[in-house]
Amino acid sequence: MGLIKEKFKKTMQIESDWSVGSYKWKAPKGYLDEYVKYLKKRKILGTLCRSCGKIYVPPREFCPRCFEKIDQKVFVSDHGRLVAYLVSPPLRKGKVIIAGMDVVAAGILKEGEQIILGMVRFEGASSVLTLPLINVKPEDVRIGMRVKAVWAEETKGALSDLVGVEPAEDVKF
Amino acid sequence: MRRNVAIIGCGQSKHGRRTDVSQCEMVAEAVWAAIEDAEISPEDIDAFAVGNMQGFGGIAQPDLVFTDFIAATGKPVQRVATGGTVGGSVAHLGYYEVASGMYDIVLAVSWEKHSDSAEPGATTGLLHVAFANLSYMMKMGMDMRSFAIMGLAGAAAGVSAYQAAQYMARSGCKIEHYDMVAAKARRNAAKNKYAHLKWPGCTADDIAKTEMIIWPMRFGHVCPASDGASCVIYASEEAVKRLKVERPVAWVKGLAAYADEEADQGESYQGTGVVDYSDQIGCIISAMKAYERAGIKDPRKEIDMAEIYAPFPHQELMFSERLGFFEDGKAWIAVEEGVTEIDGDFPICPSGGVNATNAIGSSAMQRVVECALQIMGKAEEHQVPKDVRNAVAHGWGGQLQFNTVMVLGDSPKRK
Repeated sequence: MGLIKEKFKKTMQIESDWSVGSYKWKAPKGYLDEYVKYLKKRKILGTLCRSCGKIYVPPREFCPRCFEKIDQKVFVSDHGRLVAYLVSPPLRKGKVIIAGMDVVAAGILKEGEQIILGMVRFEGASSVLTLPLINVKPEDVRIGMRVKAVWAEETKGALSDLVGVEPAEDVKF
Repeated sequence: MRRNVAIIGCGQSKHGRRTDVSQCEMVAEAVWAAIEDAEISPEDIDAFAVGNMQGFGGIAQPDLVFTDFIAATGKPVQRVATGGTVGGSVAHLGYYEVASGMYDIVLAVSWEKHSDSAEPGATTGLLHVAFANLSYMMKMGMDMRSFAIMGLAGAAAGVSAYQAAQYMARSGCKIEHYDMVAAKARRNAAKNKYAHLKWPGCTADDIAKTEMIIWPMRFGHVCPASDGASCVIYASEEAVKRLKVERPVAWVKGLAAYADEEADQGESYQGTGVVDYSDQIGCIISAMKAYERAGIKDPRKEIDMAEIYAPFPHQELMFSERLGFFEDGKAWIAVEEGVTEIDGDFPICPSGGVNATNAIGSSAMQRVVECALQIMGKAEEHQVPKDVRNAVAHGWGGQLQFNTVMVLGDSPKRK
């Protein structure tokens, strides 16, 4: 709110609640309910379009390419390949402000840690998921390497059950 | 039956950080420049097409307050908003209004004033766009750590970073090629008096020295958040004759705008089902349809230069392939050979492009303006040395999925 800070000496705070969970937005009712239910069982659910054969993970209700309704649920492997990746620089306090919050100072991300974001195509799936790539150094990452899902110690049927992916084989170059 | 339509005048405000003017004054700067360039008076204009990125610059609908400033009072005014493509969409809207036979002379203007918002776009615009997905993901049990990680590669730059990584994997190009493209943009911008980030004689090595923001994207690869407005004035073929315009004008030969599937963040759980971020099927279809309408069969041979909406260097490579100028995955070879330089065989973004100047709403319109200037021979210092008979103006935006393509030429299309 730079405009206000520059022009006015006093700013005003108003306290209220904003329940973002109450929003429906674009997600149809129950859209990911089944997906997260299977995450609890450490399984990755997708949907198969009978028209073009593409398998979407997470499940979609219709295929945007064929505009066909999709009702066939399939499981995909929790092993896959790395399609592309991003590497953040070591994170520093005061440098990572997300939605107005210094996430390093708040302890959500660690000082000095480097985040690798991997785009993963799980075996069987046509689409890619973007997940943190963990337990590997950035210099050891290669496009095309095999990765496997890392699950939370205790799964509870939430998106956070799927923590990320790690190399499925020893990385040697 | 479509009527032939020409661009008879163009105007741009100076782009950059424009704290010296209000949003109204900035838009008026481009509008009056275009009116003077077209050698008409405001009374000649039948209708106005306007637009900017929704919610950017701290105001929801600035067009509500500036009609007086652009002589639109008592005239039809229509606003469109399609995110980053909005300049292209406004340009298309203005064309439709004339081509349909509804009006003879239409002014189309689009703009952005990022400096009026604290974090350009982020506070008022992009966060709201992402909210549809974010709020739902939080409801489904996304933890704070994942939320923060997603924010690391957030907004347009974040999405584009995924795209850059995937394009590298697909085409086999290296970060060095992105450095080369970014350096070209800065160099070319130095010759354009309206551009924002100017760096005369910038080399790929200069860009390579800039900080890596998130691999594979360097600070030097990222476009600025500029303020600025761009404007074109369309006239029907009859109006061109009636106004006795004898100087060169730019004819709209064909245009198309197709949407792809939504592909924002693509983050952990969202389920956009994206197969490849660098596919851009919407751009391919838009280009094919626009060329068909313009009667162009071999784009590489028949088109002389292009202005591509590429805020990030990999997009110039990717879109130049999708627009049919180079084979899939081969654009970086053309960059190595200098084909896309101002004096090259196929100049791309001689103005410096969006990578050097990005006032979101203005950007896609500026591509149309720059192509028109090249055809009219009025691009001054960044005029390409070769004859420009056909040029392509491309726009990109939305949630990664909207594309606008306009083919401009030095003569009207004959049936």
